[in-house]
Amino acid sequence: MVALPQRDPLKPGGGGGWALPDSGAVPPPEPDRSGFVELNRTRLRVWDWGSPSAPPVICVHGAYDHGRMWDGIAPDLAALGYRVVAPDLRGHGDSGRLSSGAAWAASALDLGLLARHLGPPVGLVGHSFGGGQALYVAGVWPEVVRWVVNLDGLGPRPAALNPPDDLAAVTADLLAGAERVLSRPPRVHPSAESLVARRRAVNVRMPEEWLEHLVRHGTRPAEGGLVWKADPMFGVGLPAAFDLEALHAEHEAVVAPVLALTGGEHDTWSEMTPEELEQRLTHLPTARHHVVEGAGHYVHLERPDAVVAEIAAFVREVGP
Amino acid sequence: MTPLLVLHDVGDPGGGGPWRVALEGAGWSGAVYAPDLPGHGATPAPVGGSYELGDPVLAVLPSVPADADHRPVVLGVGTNGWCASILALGGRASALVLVDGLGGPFRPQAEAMAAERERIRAIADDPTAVGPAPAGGLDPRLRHGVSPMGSRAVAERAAAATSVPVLVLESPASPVTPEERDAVAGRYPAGATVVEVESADPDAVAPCVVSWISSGRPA
Repeated sequence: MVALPQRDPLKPGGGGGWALPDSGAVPPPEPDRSGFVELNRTRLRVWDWGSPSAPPVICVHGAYDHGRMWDGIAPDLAALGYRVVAPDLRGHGDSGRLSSGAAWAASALDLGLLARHLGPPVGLVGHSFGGGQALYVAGVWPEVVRWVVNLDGLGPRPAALNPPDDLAAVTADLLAGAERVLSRPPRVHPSAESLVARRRAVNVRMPEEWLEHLVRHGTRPAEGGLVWKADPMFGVGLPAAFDLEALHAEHEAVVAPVLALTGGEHDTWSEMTPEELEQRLTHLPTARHHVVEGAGHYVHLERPDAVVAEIAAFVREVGP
Repeated sequence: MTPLLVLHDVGDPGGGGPWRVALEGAGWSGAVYAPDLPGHGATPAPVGGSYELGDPVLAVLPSVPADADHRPVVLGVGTNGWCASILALGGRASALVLVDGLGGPFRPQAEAMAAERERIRAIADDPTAVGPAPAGGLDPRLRHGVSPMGSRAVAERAAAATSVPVLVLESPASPVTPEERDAVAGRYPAGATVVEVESADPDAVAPCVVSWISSGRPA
C-alpha cells in the first residue's frame, strides 16, 4: 500500500486540463490509503479505509464503475470497526485489462484471493454486478466469507435470462460487436461534462455530485479528451449456457448470512417486479431483504445513511 | 479448396501444429490455419492470464473473413467445438466440423455450477495456475480446463440455428453419449454427417475431413 497522490489531474486545480467546473459540491473524503495488489495474474488497484488490523470488509463495485464509488459509505463502515477495502475489479478503474468479456470467474478468483490476502473471514458488500460477485464468492469459498450485503445485485429480470429467439442473428451481432472492440481504440470524449451527461442519461436518479465523482475517478486523459477507464472488452459477450436455473444454483450455494437491500423507487437497472424479487429471494435461504425507500439502483449513493444503518443492524445480529 | 481453420482442444500440448501437418498430409489443398491458441505452444497466455469457454473465438476472430466468398471451414476439437459452433452460428464458417465437439458432459445446471465452483477453488489453490504465466509452452493453468458447454438444451438450440453443412466426428473419448450425440446432431436443419472414429487424434481425423470435403458435401 502507498500513500495517495496529493494532486489528481481530473480535479479542479489538479492540472489535467480536463477538470470539471467547480460545481460547489463537496467531494467525499479521500480514502485513507491506496495501492496495488498483484494476484491471479493481474494487478488490482485497491482503496483502503480504517485500521489495517481491523476485520476486513471488501466492497465490490458494479459493472463499469470503480472502487471510488464507496468513498461515501466506506468511512462509516470503517467507523463500525472494520478495515474497508474496495478494489477496482479487473477491467475497471486502474486495475489490469481483460482479454475477453467473460470476466466473471476471473473476477471472483481475484476477490477470493484478495480475501485470503487480507486475512479471512471477510465481510462482502457488493453493488449490482458486484453484489452478484459477492454472492458467488461466498458460494465458492464459504469458509472465507463471514457475511454478504447485496445492494440491488440479485441479477437481471427472469426474462433477460431467456435464450434469444434468433440465436444465429444474435450471435452475428455479438461477433460484429466483438470485432469493433478488438479493432478500434476506446472512444475519446471531448469533455468531462459530456461524460457526466452520458451517465446522467443512463443513471437517471444518481445525485449530481456522484455523477461527477464517478466520472472524475472513472476516466483518464487521452489525446483529444477523456476515455473511460473501464475496459471496453468487458462488454463483449458470446452465447453461453447461463440461465435462470444457473443463477438460482449460484444463490443456493450461499450459506453465509445475506442482507439484500433494494431501492423502493423505480430506476434503470433495477427492474424486477416485487413478485420476481420475492421469487428470486426464495433461492437465497440465508437472506433477509429490506427495501430502502427514496432510493433506486444506487441504493448506497442515494441513501447512504439508511444503508449504513441497515448494515450496522445486520452485523449486530449476525456478528462482525 | 476452401481454407480451413482449426481450433485445437483446450489444454492440447501440441497446439495447432499437428493438425496442420495431418490435414495437409491427408490431401487438404487449401490453406490450413491452425494457430496455437493463447497459452498453448508458441502463443503466450492472454492478458489477465485466465481462460474461458468462448475466448478462442476472440483470439481468431480478426483473422476470420466475414464475407461469404472467403469463409473457412471451421473445425473445433473437444471443448473448442463450442467456439467453432459460435463462428458457424455467426456466419463466419462455410462448413462446420466437430471432433468430439458437440458439447458436454451434459448435466443439470446445479451440477454444472457445482463443478465450476470446484474448478475455481482448484485454480486458487494451484500456485502455478495463479502465478505468473510462462513465456511459452502449455500454461499450467490450462490443467484446470474451462467450464464446458454443459447444457444439452443450448447445444440443441445452437444446432437448430446452424445453417451450414456439418460433419460430426465422435471418438470413444467423447463426453456425450450416443443418444445425446444423435439428439444434438439431429437438430441441424440440413442434417449432419456423423462418423465414429477410433480417436480424436489429428492423424485419425484428417482423412475423414478431407474425404467429406472432397465428396462435395459442403455446398
